Amino acid sequence: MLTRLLALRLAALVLAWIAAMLIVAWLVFAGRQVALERAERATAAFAAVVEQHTARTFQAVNLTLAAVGDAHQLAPRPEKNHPQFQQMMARRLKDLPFVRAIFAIGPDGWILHDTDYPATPQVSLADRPYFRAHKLDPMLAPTVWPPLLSRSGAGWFLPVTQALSRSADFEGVVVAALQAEQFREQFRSIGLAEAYLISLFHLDGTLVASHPERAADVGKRFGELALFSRLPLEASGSFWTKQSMLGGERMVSYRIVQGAPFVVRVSRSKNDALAEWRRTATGAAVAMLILTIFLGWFIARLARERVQRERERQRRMQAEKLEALGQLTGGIAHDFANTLNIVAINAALMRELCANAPALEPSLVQVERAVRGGTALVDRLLSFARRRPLRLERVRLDAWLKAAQPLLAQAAGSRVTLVTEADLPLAEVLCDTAQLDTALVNLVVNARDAMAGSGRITVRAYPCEDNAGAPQARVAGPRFVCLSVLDNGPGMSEEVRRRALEPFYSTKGEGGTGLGLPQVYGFMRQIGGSMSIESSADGGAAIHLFFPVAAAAAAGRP
Amino acid sequence: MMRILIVDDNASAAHATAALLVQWGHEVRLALDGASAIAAARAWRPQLVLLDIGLPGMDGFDVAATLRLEPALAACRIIAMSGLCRTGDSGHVAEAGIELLLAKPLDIAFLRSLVGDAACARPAPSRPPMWD
Repeated sequence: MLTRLLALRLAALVLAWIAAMLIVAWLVFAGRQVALERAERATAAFAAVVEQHTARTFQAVNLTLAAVGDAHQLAPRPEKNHPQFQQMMARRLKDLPFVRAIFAIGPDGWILHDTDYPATPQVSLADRPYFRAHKLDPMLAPTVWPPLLSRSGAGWFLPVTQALSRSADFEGVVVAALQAEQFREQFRSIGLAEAYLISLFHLDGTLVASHPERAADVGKRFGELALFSRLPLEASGSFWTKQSMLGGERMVSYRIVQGAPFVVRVSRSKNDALAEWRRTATGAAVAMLILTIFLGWFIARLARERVQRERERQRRMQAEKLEALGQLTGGIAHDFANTLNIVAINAALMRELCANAPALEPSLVQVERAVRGGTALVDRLLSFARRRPLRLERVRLDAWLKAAQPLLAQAAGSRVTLVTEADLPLAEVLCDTAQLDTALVNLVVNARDAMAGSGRITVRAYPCEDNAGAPQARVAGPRFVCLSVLDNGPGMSEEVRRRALEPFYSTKGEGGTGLGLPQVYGFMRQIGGSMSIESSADGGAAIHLFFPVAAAAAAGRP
Repeated sequence: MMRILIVDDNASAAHATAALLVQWGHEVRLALDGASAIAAARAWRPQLVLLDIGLPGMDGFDVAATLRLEPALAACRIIAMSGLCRTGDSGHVAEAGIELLLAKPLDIAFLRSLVGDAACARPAPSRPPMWD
């Protein structure tokens, strides 16, 4: 059915579609990789920024504490809660907005100087771990401690401590209380999206601060996080993990804070990292879906058009073939008639001239019989060639059917049931009733022969809207009256059905002239109507004759 | 006995028909095309023209119509023959002034009854039948 060119075009179309699909799929896949790599770079960069910021903070605090310690070293030692010393500490405190308070503890554990004095009560801090550590090792380096919960109700804070003196004598400890709260503020001020989680851990796994806030978790230890198993190996890194505080797969970047026992951790959910990519991918998928649907629709339309064109071409070919056969048959009939004429006249002449030659008689009889047979053939050929003049009259097919019933019943034979029906009301048609009789007898005999003599034939007249199935172009405008002859015989093959209207095409072997249906067809064409044959090889056949209603019928011309 | 003009472009058919009609006792002339048929009819004034429809050039209908324009041939009967019709077909026949259309091959018995009729009945009004 498909031409080579069309097949090539379709193949090219499908190949282009596959190529487009592959390219889009590759772009989408590559886009995902790029998105994940970009997410990794971003978290690593943020971790670095936060780490540097945090390191600077501790550096600044350490410098301040060193300055306070140096001031304390100047002999003589300042008195307890000396206003000048306290003012000096307060000045320094102003430069460190994230430090809540600076205080010095004496060797006995009681507070010597306090930026908040006299608001704070006199308390001993001898039990605090940082104090004990410094007391145990007077040479202990400046240290930042895991978060402690303030006894004054100021929340979690990070003690940053130094020994008051740099000698081996223990003179006490100076402490800066870093508010964990302040780190959270700092992280918040970076202004990262909610999808990022920034947290600061002590190396022992204690959570110091995080943004967004996880107040309940501050001070808890999270040693089980994947991060802490990596820390001993590398000071910074990035990895994907499903084991996280928030659940779900996340990108994690960490960095140990330089100069302090802390680690900065920045994480971002994979979902968020892929959100933009997912939108693009969805867009691409929708576009490809639309393209695919369009392509499918286009191919379906192409195929449908192709089938329609093919059907139309076959119909036209059939009509043209029948037309050409009509011309040819007419010419042959004419020449044959003229030849027979010469034979007939000469035979008559011989009869006249040799009236007393009985020996010639049998031959003359043969010649005359042959001429009669030839004449009948000419008559049928002329019917198909539509050269027979018609006597047109206005007829109602139901009335005609009633009148023709006995004739048709006789043609059907005694073993076949003939049923005639008419859907009333029927419009009048222009028709030659004598030839219609012949045509219908023809069809009924055909049906009877097809059913091997017994069965049921229905002749039905009814109004119909178009001449579907006829070789002529489909006409829906003028209405038709249809006369159908239906049988329940074995039906005919598609080949037989297609060729049934051609003259000399017979399935009856020697017995058939192959002119029965063509004669009917010629007649129908001559009155401006048409004819179609419906059948399946499974059984049953229907011949439909379409008569244009009288008003629209063109008068037949001889 | 009638004067019959046979017009047929098929010479074999024309000659055979002529021979047959002569045998039946008629006076016969032949014309093989339309123009000579009209000339012969004007000159000879046949009582009956046996006219083939399928002539080359001017066809039988044209010849019949032309003959009908001649007042002198008003009484002349025109019977047409055609290989593309059946005996008794109407159509253009009446307008062309043709009495009857015969199908080819001619039905000899019917022809005989026709010319037999022509021989004794329907005399031309200007001439009594026995006069000729």
